[in-house]
Amino acid sequence: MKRRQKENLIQGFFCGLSLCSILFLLGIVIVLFKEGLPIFNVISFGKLFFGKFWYPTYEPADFGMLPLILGSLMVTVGALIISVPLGVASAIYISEVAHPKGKEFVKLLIELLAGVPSVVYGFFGMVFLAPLVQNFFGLPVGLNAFTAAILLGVMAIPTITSVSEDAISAVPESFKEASYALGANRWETTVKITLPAAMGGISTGIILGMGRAVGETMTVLMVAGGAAVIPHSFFEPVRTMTATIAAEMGETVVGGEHFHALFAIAIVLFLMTLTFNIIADFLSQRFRRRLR
Amino acid sequence: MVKMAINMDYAERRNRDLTFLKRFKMSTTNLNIWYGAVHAVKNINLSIEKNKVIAIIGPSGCGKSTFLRSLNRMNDVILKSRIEGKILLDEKNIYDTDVDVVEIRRKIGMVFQKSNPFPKSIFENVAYGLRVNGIKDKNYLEQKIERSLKDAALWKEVEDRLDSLALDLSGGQQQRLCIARALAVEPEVVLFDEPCSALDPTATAKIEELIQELKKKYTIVIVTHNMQQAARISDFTAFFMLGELIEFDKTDKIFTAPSKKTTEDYITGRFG
Ligand SMILES: Nc1ncnc2c1ncn2[C@@H]1O[C@H](COP(=O)(O)OP(=O)(O)OP(=O)(O)O)[C@@H](O)[C@H]1O
Ligand SMILES: [Mg+2]
Repeated sequence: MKRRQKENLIQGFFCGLSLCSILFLLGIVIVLFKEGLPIFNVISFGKLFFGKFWYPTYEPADFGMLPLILGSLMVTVGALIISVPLGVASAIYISEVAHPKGKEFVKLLIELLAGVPSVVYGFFGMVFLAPLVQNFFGLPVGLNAFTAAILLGVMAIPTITSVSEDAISAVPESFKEASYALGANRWETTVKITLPAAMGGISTGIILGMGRAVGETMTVLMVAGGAAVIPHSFFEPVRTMTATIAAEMGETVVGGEHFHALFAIAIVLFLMTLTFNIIADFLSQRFRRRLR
Repeated sequence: MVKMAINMDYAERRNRDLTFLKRFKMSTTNLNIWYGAVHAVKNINLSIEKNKVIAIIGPSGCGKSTFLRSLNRMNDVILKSRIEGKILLDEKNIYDTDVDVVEIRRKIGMVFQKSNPFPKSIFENVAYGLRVNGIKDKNYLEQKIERSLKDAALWKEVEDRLDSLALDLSGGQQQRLCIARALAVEPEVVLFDEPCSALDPTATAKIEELIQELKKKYTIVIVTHNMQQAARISDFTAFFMLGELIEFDKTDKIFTAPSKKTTEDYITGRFG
């Protein structure tokens, strides 16, 4: 009887805690939509998402999000071009190639990378990387999409590597043995058996890394250049959705049009990351089922 | 005169060796294997006759799998394993430094205890070994895959769904797919490590029948825990215990009149 009560108590405790986090999430969603949706009283859906000009302080103001969406997209795609090969390669190295010592070392490095605060990345970018990029390519400014993409790419590596490594390590030894027994060497086995079998998990990692890049704020605020215009190349300053919210929220009138427009951006961001997570979840589940 | 006698003696010995080599597909000489400090296989001398089925029996942990895996150098994959002695395939020591491991594994195929088809289609599973060995010609691949699946007695059950996932097959079908996969690269010897231990009696019977068929083309070594199975399907039986080869003889002899007391005790189920 007593044990039963204790179990109920413990169960209730954890149930309560998880309810708390659901409540928080619900609160965020409600506030986002409550403060974001009123913008559609002022401006149409199409104009908000596909408008080419973001001049929130003009009279009359323009709330075209397209430059911001493109800015985010550009920086994120650039980051993926860097982080996917590096992240997946590190995962392969850690799980398939490295001897125990090398493995521990690379793992430690990548964990360190994950632990660096984003403001430090931003600082490093402004002081070191931006001038380097500026001089190397002979640009008028070093703070641009390219610089931001490099930093975001590095920041996304730990996510991609750790999730991919788990997936690669989860591939049963028996598949590899069968491959060796058919005369494949280690490299062929990795490329033709292990990686395809781990693909679901690897793509989960990539999508989570993408979510990380889209959501990152401080670094892009510091190094992406901050110009809210439609970018034409990687070497132009851009402004992402996150940076826009962070930079402008402090200067708006609560309840004003600009305020609501920023919340609308936040809704878009929220829906994007939610979609990424759902896709990642779906992929990892499918992956698990296939390996069974 | 003396010289000629020596020469004749030499010729005769050589002839004898040649007939020996023709008769035996593989043989091990003073084979020892260690895992770190564990001496898993001790001084094994054993010759495997061509186109025969050789069964390896013995209590759990006696080194059966270790011995089997050394025959196609699958132990190379295990970091801390060490091997001494010779294993001849035809006339060549497969552990010589100039030997290509890939070539050895192609010539000596292996089927594992737990069926392990790749998470790919049935077709791709069988094609894998061929592709790895550089075969790209689509027609040839298709023919070869059909042939292998027929040889593994699986063709009729899968011919109209070669593109479906191999993991959707039943356990017995999966194991026969693994056999087809091993046969596709045209091995000369096929090693089986307890291929039926996860299968029901019907599937087991199918595989046993198949092995009887396969020995016409291949030389077969099979590890089994099932003594009836060894008696049913093998021509020769090797009895291992604690890493040593206790007795090796014709299967009939081992099961009716073993020359060692230990063998008899094991076979009659007094331990093991
Ligand atoms: N990878 C390994 N690392 C260390 N020791 C091993 C390894 N594989 C096997 N051994 C040891 O070598 C000995 C022989 O093992 P082996 O797997 O060859 O036995 P077995 O006869 O196949 O047993 P079973 O019938 O249970 O499959 C055992 O003592 C085992 O603990
Ligand atoms: Mg075994």
